[in-house]
Amino acid sequence: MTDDSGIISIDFLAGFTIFLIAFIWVATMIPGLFIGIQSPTIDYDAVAYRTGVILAEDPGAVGPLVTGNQPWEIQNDKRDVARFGLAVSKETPRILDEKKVNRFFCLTAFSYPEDYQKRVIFGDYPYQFNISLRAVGEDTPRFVGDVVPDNYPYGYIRRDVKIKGSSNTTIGEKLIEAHGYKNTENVTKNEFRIVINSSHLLTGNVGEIDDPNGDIMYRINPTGDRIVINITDLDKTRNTVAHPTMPKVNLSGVKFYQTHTGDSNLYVFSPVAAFENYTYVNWSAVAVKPPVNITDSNLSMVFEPGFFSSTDKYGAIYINLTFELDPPQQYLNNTRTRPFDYNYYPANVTQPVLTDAVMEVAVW
Amino acid sequence: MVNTGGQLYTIEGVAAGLIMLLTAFIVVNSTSVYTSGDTHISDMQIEVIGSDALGLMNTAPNSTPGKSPLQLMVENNDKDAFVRMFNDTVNNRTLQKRDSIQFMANVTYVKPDNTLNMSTPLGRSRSLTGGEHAVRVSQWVIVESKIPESGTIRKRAELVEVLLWRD
Repeated sequence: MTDDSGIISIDFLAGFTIFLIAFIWVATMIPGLFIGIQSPTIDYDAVAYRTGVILAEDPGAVGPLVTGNQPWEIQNDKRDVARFGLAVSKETPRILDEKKVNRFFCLTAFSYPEDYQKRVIFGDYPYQFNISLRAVGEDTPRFVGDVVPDNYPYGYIRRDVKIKGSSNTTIGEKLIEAHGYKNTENVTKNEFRIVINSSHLLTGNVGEIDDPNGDIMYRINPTGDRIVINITDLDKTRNTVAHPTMPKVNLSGVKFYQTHTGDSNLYVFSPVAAFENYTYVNWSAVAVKPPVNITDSNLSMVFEPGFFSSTDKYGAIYINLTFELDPPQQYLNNTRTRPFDYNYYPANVTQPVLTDAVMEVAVW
Repeated sequence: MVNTGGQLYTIEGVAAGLIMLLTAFIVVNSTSVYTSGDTHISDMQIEVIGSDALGLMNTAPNSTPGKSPLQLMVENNDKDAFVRMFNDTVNNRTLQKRDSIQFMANVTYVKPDNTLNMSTPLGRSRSLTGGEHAVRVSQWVIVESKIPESGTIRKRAELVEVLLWRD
């Protein structure tokens, strides 16, 4: 007998379909219900990622009261540092500046955690963190922060970076011979001049790299970089046959001059008092201020970052060294030749080198 | 007129109940996708470190005219050097023991006849079996090579692609 038993009704299908649609819709909304009550653990990784990006890809920023185009790492007052960032520039991600790295990890300049939380971690939640950096070849890393917890979840990011070192020059016998930095007369005062042409260094080609934008990671920036000038083999500039006895040598003065954009006149430039001890002689580890006696053949001048910060970045810096000899003799002297040029020529200046390093950020 | 049309009978009711339960089970299970959503974090971490490594390998260590290590490796198809340097770079850590990221690299470029040379191997730390959850990073490299092989040396852009995964 045919009847309607076993027939699923249209009403049931319609109702069941509506039920399913409603159920799926509600189920998809469930994750959103928890957004408002999520715990801080959820964003540890996000904060670690953001911190890694700021450190590796951002050059940092100074506060609104800083005048001029001065980077954060040469600010003496930490209140003038608005944001840490270790990159050489925003165009060169992953290329860190050695000066910024040194300043960032200096726990006498900044205190953990408050100085770091508001300049690199950010956020209202008082995160704890550990930031470490180790260059290839170093045994122990530099770090700031707490010990990373063993049994507690934490956000983590690792960045591979390079650290840009500073340039230096060693004016030794080879360079002195090549450039004729020996005078032929016996004089009391021997002058030696060095020129750091900021304009050429900042706007010219770097070596043979003909790319005004892609080479910033290799540039020497006199207004912000450390400049190291070593002079060796000073005794070999004397005529030791005619004068076998070493005279009394005194670096009686170092004078600084600068030129400005479109003006070739020399203007006296006086470094600030904080930088006045920049001369190393006689293998001493302590910097002194000229005048100073030289008892061997070596002299080093280390101009820390910021030494030339007030000079015209599109001008040139001249450093005049005066050696007084008693009795008068031939010595290091280039008044009759050209000043020694601190430039991108590798034979003159050891260029900045990029060193591989790895940085880790842990946040909890 | 009232009759039994549209009436839900016992067997159909039980069947419908089972279907609803099964559907509810499937739907509830499918919502667990969001709980595994944090896999993108480990993916992101590997992607960042791989991208960093390729970028740094494509950067010359100083301004003396020369090529980046990656350029030389691609030009000379130096698989050993690539595996050694990439492995060192992606697995390097500051203090703890080294990481265990594995990788497989290929190079792709357009040949002079405008056809694509797909996936010339550049080296790998381990073979990809297909079960790994790998992420992909890439880097364009300008290489100088004889194009065609009997021709003159010209510059060409080649794409280095690396698949990375963690054991």
